[in-house]
Amino acid sequence: MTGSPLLAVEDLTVEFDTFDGVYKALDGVSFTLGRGESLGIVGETGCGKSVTAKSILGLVPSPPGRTRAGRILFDGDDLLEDGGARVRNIRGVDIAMIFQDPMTYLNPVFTVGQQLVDVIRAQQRLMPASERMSREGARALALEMLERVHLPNPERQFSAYPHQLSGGMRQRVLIAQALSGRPRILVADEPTTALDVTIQAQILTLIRELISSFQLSVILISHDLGVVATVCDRIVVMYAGQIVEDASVTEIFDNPQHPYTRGLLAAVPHPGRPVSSLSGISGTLPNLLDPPSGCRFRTRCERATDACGTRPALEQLGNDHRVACWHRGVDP
Amino acid sequence: MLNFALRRMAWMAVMLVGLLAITFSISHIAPGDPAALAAGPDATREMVERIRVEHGLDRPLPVQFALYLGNILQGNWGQSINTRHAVWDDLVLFFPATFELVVFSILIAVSIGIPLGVLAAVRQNTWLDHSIRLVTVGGVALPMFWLGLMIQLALALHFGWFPLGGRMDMMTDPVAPITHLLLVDTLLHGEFSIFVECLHHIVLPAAALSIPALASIIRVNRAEMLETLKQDYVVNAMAQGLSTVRIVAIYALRNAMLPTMAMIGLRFGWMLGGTVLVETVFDWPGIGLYAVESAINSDFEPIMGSTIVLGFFFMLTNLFIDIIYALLDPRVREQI
Repeated sequence: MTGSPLLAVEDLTVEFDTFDGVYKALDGVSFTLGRGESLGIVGETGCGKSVTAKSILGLVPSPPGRTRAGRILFDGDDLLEDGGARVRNIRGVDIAMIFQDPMTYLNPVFTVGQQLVDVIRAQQRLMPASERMSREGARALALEMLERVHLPNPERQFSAYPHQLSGGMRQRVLIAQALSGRPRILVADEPTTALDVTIQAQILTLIRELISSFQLSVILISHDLGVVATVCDRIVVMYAGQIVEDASVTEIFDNPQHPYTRGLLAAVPHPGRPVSSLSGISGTLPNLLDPPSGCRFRTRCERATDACGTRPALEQLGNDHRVACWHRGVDP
Repeated sequence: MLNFALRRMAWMAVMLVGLLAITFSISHIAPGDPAALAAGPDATREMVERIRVEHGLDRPLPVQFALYLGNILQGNWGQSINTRHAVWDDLVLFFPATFELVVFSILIAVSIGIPLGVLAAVRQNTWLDHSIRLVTVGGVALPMFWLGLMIQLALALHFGWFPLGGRMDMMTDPVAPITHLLLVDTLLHGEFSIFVECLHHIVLPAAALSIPALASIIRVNRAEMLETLKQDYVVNAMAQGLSTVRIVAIYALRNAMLPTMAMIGLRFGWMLGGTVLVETVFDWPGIGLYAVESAINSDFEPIMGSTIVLGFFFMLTNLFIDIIYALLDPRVREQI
């Protein structure tokens, strides 16, 4: 990790206009991704993980979505400038993305091969015409990519339609699409959530393999701490549109500072341990149409005091460990 | 696919017989005595009875129907009391005029409707979308004959840009029929000036006939495009860097075309049955006018003949649409 980070998200604030008011999905989210680093973003459904991921590629539908403030620096350039031209140029080329439900992310009326070739040709849109691949070249690369994601029978699946493939196979196809442009960053938004557990393990193994062979930097979004721990070096914990803790995987597991992180860890089931050892976090995510003032977790926090009415800043501890809490580290 | 088409053809034959049975029953239950009409006002009772027996009108309905079906299959479609021609000859004369008008109209409706539907969806909630929607509401709501009259008054009578009616000028020598479709026949004969003349004649009636279809195609296509553009595979295509044009015109449109095709087929069928209003306004010698005049005169063999032809083409359209459906969507292809 030398010099400036590969990707830096600074003070990102995203809102959605709804009939009931303004939904404050992200509030001052800041984190960095180093070169060759794998970063996990965890949190429960609705905490803003996916909006963060989609914002990086400018995929938040607008309207109703709106980026109120912040910068997204890729290699030092702000992707939010230029009215979106810059972010359109990096899509698929420098930053690629895979999604949660492989069932719906492939077009049902085109073959796997057609879609893959289309993507490969789109990824070369910024090259001078003489360097772009021919259709045959793109086809050859598509088949090579299908092999690299270990899709069985790539020649046959090339002319198959998405509905003829299983969920795991489709996710492999989507990974092949994303990586065929040799991006520097892969954003994976819950890539295994919709899959069976055994397939999940296969896809995670594949992602780990590809991270090293493609020298990728990764942002992996998940609600599953176990999934993140197998792939990532560092974890960012989000709650209600804000980052509450940011530290290396070992720090998060061995030395969690934020009560919410502790709650998440206590809720992870372990095989062999009795169910009674699990504890949930009581209450539900606050309504982001009207979020609580101060610390957004205080409505569910056992340790909340009057001090929590003021928003705690994300404070830097040693070891690259950041946490936003007035009562951090104090054992109950 | 071929298997599917053949199976559907067989079903079409069954449905045609069913359609004929219904039309046959209705036209025989309806008041009015075709024998008396054919015999004329001065005929005696005996003459009427003789005509009744001659035409087999005294026999039980199912027997009459069976005899009629037999005649149809042998190519004997009966005689029109009204025009005094063989029904088959009348149909060959009148149906192509209607067919030409309807095909021309649906082509206008599709080639304008789909781009406008896509445009309205892509520019949702802008002034462009609002104006397209406003016009389509009008197009669906306004009665076709009124629209036809207004177009005729303004563009033909007032400005004189188009002829008032008919398929070609009275003084033009018609070309020898090959397909009976004037636009095709004139081209086949290389008569470009007559082709242009026919084109000039078809514009106004086709405009009047296509506006309701155009409006509903725009509405369906817009709604479907809006739905499709929200799909995950569109988001994925964006994330992978595909151009907006490619995403809209290929990835989304092909999916949105499925329900739009259904609407196009339906509208084509309605046009076939509903041209009479436009044919009346523009003096277009089509099957709609022929069928209505036959119905008014209780001239039942032409009614039956028109029913067969219109029903057949309606069913053919549906088959055609289903085949396009299967071509567009691999999941449908697997089921047939």
